[in-house]
Amino acid sequence: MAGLTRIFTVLTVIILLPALMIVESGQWPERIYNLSEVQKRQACIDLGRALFYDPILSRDSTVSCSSCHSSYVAFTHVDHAVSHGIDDRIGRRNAPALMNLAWSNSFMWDGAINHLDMQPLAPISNPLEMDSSLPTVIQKLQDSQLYRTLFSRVYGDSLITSERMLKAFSAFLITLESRSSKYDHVHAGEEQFTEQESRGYALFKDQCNACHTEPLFTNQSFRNNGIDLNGRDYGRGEITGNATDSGLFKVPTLRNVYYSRPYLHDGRISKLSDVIGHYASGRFPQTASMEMNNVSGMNEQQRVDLMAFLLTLSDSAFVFDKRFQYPFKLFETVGVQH
Amino acid sequence: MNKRSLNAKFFRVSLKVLLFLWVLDSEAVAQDKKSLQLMASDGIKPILSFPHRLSLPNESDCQVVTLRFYLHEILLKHEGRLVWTSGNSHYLFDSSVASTLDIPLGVSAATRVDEISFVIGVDSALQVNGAHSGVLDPIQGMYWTWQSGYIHWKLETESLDSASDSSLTWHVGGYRAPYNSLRVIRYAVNTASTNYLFTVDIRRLINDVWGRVPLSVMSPSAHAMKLADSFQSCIQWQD
Repeated sequence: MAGLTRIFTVLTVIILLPALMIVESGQWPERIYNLSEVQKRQACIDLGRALFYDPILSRDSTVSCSSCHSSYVAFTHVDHAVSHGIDDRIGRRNAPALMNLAWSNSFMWDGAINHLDMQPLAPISNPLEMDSSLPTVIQKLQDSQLYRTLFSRVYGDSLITSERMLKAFSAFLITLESRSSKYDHVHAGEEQFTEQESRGYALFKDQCNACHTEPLFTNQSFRNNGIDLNGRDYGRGEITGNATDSGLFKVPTLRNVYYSRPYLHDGRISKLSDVIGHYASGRFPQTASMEMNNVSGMNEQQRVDLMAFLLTLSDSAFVFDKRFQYPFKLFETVGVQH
Repeated sequence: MNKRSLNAKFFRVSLKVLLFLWVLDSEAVAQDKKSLQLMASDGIKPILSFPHRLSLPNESDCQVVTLRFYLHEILLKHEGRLVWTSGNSHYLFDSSVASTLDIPLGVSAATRVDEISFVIGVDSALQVNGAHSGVLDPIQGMYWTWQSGYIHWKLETESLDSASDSSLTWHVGGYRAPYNSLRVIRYAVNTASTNYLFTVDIRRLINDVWGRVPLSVMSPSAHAMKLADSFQSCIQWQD
């Protein structure tokens, strides 16, 4: 009888475990932003996509958002430690990957931006990025037959205002959802982790999940991960003015981390294995956030296991999704030039 | 009668003449409504056009080129009870557009009111609520782009003294503790008043903070908080 009970228990756990994991780890929170009916229209998403890929936003019309946020590398700037903008000016920080923005309550490494609508204002006006201004951009769009047409399709008239432009940006950016990685398929009961991936997952939950919290793989907070700041960038402290925030940077998502190199706020590490190496050392200065106490050091096998798990967060369907790429067809269909 | 009291008398007479002319012409009177008017002064006389020449405490001359400020949440009360509120509306004083800001209030001239208040700046809830239009459109130049947040008020001067460049650039904002620089203006008013005239005394503002804050303040900070306090005290009801 006792044997039967044990078998029943084991079978129950095997059957229910995937479902329990979905509830425990895979449940997505509510989206932060409620889009208007206008923003949900495909025409509005198309307008935002056109703006994202159009260098018209920059002072001399040479640099677009996509210059530093390339779709095929999870919307970051591959192979550049920090972004570079107009006239090859070198920026200050690593261009962050863009995905799952509907769940983000702050933007930029220091959280300077408090709403998705307002995010485009920063690169447009930054002299190291697009070096333009909102009035100039609006005037250029108003002078463009292409954009008068695209705005008319969305709003019913060709009036172009910054509010309309910013909300169209949000409409497109919200669509950049990545939730079709192997990790997601495992939690949906459609695939299984390998033994190595499972070991890496267990290690991840033990040492990393406090900040890179599932399923977004970020808890949206600001933390000091123990790297040497070199006294050049005070991160969150520059925004709040609080000394205790000095050296804190936003915890980035680990989704698509394989694609989104280089790493850290200043892009100083180009290989994912070296990022793991930083954490695997288990030795951090006192300025590091308290969650770093969870990171107790990893041996060589554990590093490889963790890497194997992180690779399951790659979402090739997202990265190569044609809906997020340069809108050739849209521009052809509209059939007008600037 | 000394020069100081003569100036004060001249100032009061100037304001009353202006108020009279404005009342004759105002939309509010045409509709038999109460109204609120704001304008700048240099402590001696109302400023009717910008740029406006001014002497600084270091005895150099400058011209005030920009004065802009938001206000919202206008409340009219009588005996402690709310008579009227402007709701979510925001208003922008912009010296590049007009030297006065006229706001019709939504109550008849005969309505009894003994207290008026309003808030200088942009409501905190709107600051975290995405893009807005009208006077809150970021294109108005009253929104920081490097970090989210409206500039509650802005004063800019240009130096007219080549020997001493004391140009001021004060952009005061911040909606979160510890640097929430929103400030409430509240006055007990005559029950019978139909039009409420407020002035922003720029000379007093500059004198009040001179040497205590840098010539440039352009982010939420302790300096911005000092400026906000001074700005609050320099807005006065002209009975």
